[in-house]
Amino acid sequence: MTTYPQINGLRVKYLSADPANPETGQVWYNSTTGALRVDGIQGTGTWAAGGTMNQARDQFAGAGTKDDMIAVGGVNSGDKNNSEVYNGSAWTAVTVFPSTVKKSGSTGDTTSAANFCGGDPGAKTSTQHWNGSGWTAGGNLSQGRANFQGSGPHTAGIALCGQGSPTNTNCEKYNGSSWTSAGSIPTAAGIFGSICAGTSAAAIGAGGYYDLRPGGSEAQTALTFSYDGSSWSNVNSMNTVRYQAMGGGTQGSAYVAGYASGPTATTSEQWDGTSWTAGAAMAISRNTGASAAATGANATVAGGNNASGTIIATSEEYTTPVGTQSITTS
Amino acid sequence: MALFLYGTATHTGKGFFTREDRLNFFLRGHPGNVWVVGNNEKGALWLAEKNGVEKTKAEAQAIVTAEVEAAKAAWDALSDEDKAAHPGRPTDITLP
Repeated sequence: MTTYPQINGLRVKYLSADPANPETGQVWYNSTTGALRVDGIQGTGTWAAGGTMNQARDQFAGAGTKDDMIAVGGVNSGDKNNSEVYNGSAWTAVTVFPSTVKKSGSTGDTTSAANFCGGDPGAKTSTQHWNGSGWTAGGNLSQGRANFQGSGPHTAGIALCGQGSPTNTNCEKYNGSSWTSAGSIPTAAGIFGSICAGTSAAAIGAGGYYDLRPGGSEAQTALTFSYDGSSWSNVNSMNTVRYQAMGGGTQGSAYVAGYASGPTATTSEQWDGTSWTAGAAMAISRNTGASAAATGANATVAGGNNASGTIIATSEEYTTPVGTQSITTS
Repeated sequence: MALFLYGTATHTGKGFFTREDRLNFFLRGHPGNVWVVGNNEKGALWLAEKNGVEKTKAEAQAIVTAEVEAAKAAWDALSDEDKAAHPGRPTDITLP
């Protein structure tokens, strides 16, 4: 019989109390409670109220992580150039974007290094770098893109499809200074309004509008694609078609929330690297907001439209606690 | 006993509803600052602590419907270009 020392190379420690700072995956026996314990077990994820943005907006982009997010541009009685950063508790206005922009894409996993690219009006190609205090011009996309998402860190980002002329099937990756081809999704037509998660080396894209024009029509989709650094392939679809939803994370741990088959939705799904499963529901229906997430386990969504189409400034934070649990048999 | 409580309360941002709240009772926000809350002790306490004004289901539904109708009218008044830029015409909401 295989034993724990054979698997782990260490014996299970016999302790009178749980260690103060256990490592993820650490196993020990608590002699006081008589329980075999393990750290790093994910609890139940839930959505809670986050800070309220200074500028209510929809059709904007966000980058960063749950507690370190930047939001740029969007629409509210006209196109906006407002930029705000979130520290996990409050939003603060920062240097405005160099132009008004909506429906742009973004990459960057911190508010000290992020990129915002493309967007409307006119399916732009330009990229702007955010360094934590100001904006500088970056490399240009080779294709004009709008209504799309990007993902990944400042120097390893990816941009998924988006509206152009016609809607793009192709994608691009960014090394911090220039965009290069990242192949095309395996469909006959382009997609816009999808979510994107991961990096230029490993990513997924999901949902959006599958644009069959001319000759066909647009159709919301649940399609999901996976990128291995060189090509895209079809993987398991979401359980619900979603367009202009919020989402992010990595190729192995992502989430999508909002906008299902109706105009808005509270529902969410979690991606585990293989398939999508139903996640916790947000408290407020929304679409066309922005998101930031390091993984599917922790995220912030902000702004967008609520169920009546009103542009909102509120945000919600998705948190999945990780803690210590006893190992039991069932 | 009714499954839900209905009320209006102003969203105050971070901490308005917490992870613990979401685990303790059902909560949905709707247009018009209408909140549908699970009808248990913790849900009722949450609405009271948020200075919520309790409504009957019919009153809450009327507020939401008025918001949606106003949003529909606003959407109908948009140009075709603006309509194309938005996800769609608001649809009716029926509170649970």
